Amino acid sequence: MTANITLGQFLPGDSCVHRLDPRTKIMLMVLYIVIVFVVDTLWVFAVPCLLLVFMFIMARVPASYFFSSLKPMRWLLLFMFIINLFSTSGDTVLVQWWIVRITQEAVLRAVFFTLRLVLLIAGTSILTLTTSPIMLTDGLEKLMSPLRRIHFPAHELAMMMTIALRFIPTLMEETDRIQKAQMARGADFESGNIVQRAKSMIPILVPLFVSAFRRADELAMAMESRCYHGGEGRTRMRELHFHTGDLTASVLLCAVLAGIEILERLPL
Amino acid sequence: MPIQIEQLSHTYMPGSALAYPALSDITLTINDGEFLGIIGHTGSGKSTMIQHLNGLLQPTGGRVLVDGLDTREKKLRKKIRSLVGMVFQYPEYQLFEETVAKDVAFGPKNMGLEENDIHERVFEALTLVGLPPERFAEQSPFELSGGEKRRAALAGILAMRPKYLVLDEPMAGLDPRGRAEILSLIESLRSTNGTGIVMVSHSMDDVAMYADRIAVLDCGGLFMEGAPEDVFSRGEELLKMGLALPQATRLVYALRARGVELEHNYYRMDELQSALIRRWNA
Repeated sequence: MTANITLGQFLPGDSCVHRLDPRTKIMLMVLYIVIVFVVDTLWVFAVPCLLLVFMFIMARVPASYFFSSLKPMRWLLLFMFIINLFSTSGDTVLVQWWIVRITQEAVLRAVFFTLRLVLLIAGTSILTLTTSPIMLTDGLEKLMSPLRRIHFPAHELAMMMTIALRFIPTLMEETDRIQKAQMARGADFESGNIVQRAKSMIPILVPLFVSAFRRADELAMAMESRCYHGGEGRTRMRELHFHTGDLTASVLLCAVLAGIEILERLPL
Repeated sequence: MPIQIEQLSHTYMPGSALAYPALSDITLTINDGEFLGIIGHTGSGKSTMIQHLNGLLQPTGGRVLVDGLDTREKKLRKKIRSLVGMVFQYPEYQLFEETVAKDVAFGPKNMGLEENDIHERVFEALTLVGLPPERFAEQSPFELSGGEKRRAALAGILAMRPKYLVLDEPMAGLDPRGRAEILSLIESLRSTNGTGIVMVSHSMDDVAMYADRIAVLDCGGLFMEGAPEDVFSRGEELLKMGLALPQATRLVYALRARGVELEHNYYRMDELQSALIRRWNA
């Protein structure tokens, strides 16, 4: 059961996208989302589609990751598609049967929204595929640090994220162990109706929480005994630096955004 | 009937890039009422192997028969798990109920026993592990001390009255007194109920003291198997594998190095002691 959870799903590598500064990548991902939302005409989607392909190639991420990034969202995508297909009103009727009425406008709209969602999911997965969780939190911390002036706990937040990420595998292992121990006592997690199944989780959840609290306590103690006192005056082992690649990537994405703005205004 | 392990192999995540062969071609029989010690250093496959004994893991090659029941068959697993009690490392972390009695009753309840029968078993198991029910039954398991928690968890397994008891490092993290209590409990289970014991341990002295037979695992394979005197007579090989030797054996080696000849390779302190006394008196 531990095998099918790919949280963070980081794919180690040394492509130019991997080497980008995490701050740049986070900001560019925001820009990418803006780009996807700015597109208003179906055919202009060709631009972000090409951009996505370009990103996948530059990051040297196998195409199979494109599909696996969509897989957890497949039901949402299908749902979105169907809702848009049946709820959009229009004049050019394609299919009319009983209460079902599908119009050309509806089909276009359904394709439009589904495509937008696909681009969003697949594009943002590039960020998590090419950035290790640690780099990601480092980048977030740096980006949020100006907010410290208004007493926003940027460092603490980043530290919490790092710790949470660090403990996911540990807790997964723990869950596995507890589950096995209870199975050895004849616990059954696979049969019964939904209420019985939910109830059968109690013997796993209670020990899991107890151990999570114990671990949290021990970790806090260990951090304190090594004089951890928050972010004040704390130096870093990995310093973040911008390089020329960061500039190139930023210029490129800004150019794409400008290009889309122009294309949208063309009288086509 | 025994537990028969036939050409057991196990690979984690087979067919993926992360495939990892943990066990290969292990054939071993665990007889009724026998005390089998399993030794091997970290990563040798001990934990993987014992999880096959009650069908928590299924073999990727070969098979495991518990009293003739194949662990690969899903329908038999519940029966197998009531035959083979499994005590994991740090079993106290599996306690979850509000009271000790309820927690101990979890196993028997899953077996679908009658209320009266469950009550009787809980009472019996708690008494057996040295937690008098009148004092402990209604306590919260989270209020007990470390050693008491461990014994409460053990009672949870014993209440299922398993025919075989598999223990993974049952004494880890206990003080000497706690260790002695658990060991004597295990030993008395075997002598009074005839429960077969499989114990994984890093303590060579405990294994030497109690086991009838020892299986040594190395890199996922069965390196050797036999009576303690045979296994510990191959001390050199054990040391090469990164395992330790029982204190008595080490003392025998040290005495030999200084020219004290002993007729046997002793592995139990008590036997070595009387041998030395005999020698002194002679």
